[in-house]
Amino acid sequence: MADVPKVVIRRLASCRVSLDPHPDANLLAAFVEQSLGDRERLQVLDHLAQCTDCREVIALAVPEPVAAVVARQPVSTPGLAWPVLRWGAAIACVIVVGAAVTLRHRELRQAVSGAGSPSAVSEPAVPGPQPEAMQSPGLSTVTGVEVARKAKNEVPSEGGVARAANEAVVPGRAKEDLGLAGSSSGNSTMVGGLAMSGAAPATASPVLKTKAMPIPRWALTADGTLQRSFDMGRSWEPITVSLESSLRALAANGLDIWVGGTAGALYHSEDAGEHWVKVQPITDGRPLTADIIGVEFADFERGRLNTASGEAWTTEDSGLTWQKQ
Amino acid sequence: MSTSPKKGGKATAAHHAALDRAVAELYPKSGAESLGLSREDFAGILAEIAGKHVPMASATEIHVFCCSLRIEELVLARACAAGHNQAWEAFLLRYREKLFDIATYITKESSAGRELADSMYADLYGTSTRDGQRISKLASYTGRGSLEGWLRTVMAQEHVNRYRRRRRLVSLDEESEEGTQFAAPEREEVVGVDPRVEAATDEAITALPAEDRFVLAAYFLDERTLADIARSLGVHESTISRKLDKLAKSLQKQILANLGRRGMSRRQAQEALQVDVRDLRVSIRERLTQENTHSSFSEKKAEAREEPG
Repeated sequence: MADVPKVVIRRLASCRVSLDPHPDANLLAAFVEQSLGDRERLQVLDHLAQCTDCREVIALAVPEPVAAVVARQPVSTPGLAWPVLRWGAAIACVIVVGAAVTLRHRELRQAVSGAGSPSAVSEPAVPGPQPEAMQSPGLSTVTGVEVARKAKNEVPSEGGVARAANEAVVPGRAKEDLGLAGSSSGNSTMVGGLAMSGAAPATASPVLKTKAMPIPRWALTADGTLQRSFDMGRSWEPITVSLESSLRALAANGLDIWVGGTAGALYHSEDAGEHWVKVQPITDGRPLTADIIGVEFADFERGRLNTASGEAWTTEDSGLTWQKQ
Repeated sequence: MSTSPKKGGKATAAHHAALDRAVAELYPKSGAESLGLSREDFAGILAEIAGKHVPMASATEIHVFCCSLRIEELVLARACAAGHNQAWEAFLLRYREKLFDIATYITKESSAGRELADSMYADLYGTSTRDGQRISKLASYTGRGSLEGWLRTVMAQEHVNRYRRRRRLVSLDEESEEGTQFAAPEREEVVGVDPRVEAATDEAITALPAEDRFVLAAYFLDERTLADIARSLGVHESTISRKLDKLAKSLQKQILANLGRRGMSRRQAQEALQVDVRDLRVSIRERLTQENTHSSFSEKKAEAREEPG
């Protein structure tokens, strides 16, 4: 235990009155702010050690402790402050969107990996419309009137991707033949990403904007089999679209893909080939029956078919109605 | 441009050059022009301050000194003192509320704080005149520390001076009732203390560095808390605690040694000191447990007012 003899205090007090002039406020303020040089600081300290008045001034001139300053601030209202709420909301939005994207991505991956398996064929949302499946509830055939009614009453969700195999096989619409420039023939044709077969421009895809699905690459083999790749062409999986027809041409735009083949076979998928809809172009009551050798879609609505007979069929409404040229 | 760092006007050419260089460097970024101070005014202010604080400095030291000043605040204060309205608007915008807050902190009560702040406003603006010129207290600001720190110090000085003036009018009974804030404990008349003990103690105290003596005086005479002293010196509270402990031990040891040199045997010196310690000792540990129990004169006064009756 350290003690100070009282004589020390008495002797300190005996010399407490300084005859020297007091340091002015500038020096004392600089001393408090620790901005004096060593020499001046020692001079001020030497004076302070003897001068009660200046020690009092120094003690009062020292800024308030932080705790006291905080205590003098207005009491904040309970709950979270606006900056906290704003940042919290922003972070929450990022987390929610990220989680949704991740979940959707996994879901699609699982669906894609299951598409080529035999068990996937029996599932309701089975890819690769078979002739039998076309009569099943999962791939029903509807009339043009019904499709038109659906088109009016239902807003295609997320670029129409949700419109799937159970929605429609269009038996006929406007039916006019157009002379399509052949985009594919007996040779294998590969389409990837936004590019469409032929010289179709790579327009911005609403699907791309709203979906976080991987964009596949497509290829048609010489024997008319559709193939899909999700790994930039390193591996390919066959996609069975129709057992009746041999496919001859395709057009892909993001997740949206059209394929055409022999005997006017035309199929459309809005979800990267997970579900297919058979489309029957009809105009003036006459269906397209010629072999489709070219498919072009400049965007999701405007398309053109070229047939082996030299006809050209066009649509302005994603295949709901057709005009023959 | 010719400026003089010395009030006698005997500045060397090197001093002139150093000041001119400082003016050229600092004037454009000081904001003086926008506040109505010309380059000549600015040079005169720098020369005055350099002459006051570093009268014998070298040219390099003068330049370094000028660059260390709070130039923007200095210009604002001097522009206010010169009566430029734009400067006053800026000053009031920046310091009006602060002045009241500082005054309230110093006086520990709002009414006294308001009074002190109002008085300070009057001094800053300058209510008295000399040779037809209004004398503003802001003209004495030299930019060594911040303008806010200077205002705080000036108000603290004013508060202490007021208390000293008023203390002369306070009756002994009233002072006893209210307690004292500023006065160090009165010297107790101790009869029969060996003059050798006092001489040995004086010698030991004098040998201490200025900072140690300041800490001893602030703690034992002014009864400041460790936190108060630490904030004054810009160190941590524990540093002051360790310093005091060390000082107490070294002082006792040094006094005993000094008594030995004055002809006392070790035992005699210890007895002489122990008598004093036994009767009048101050326990640091006791003092440490009493931290934060010290209330100021104003606080006691306010408490007394709040009491019923």
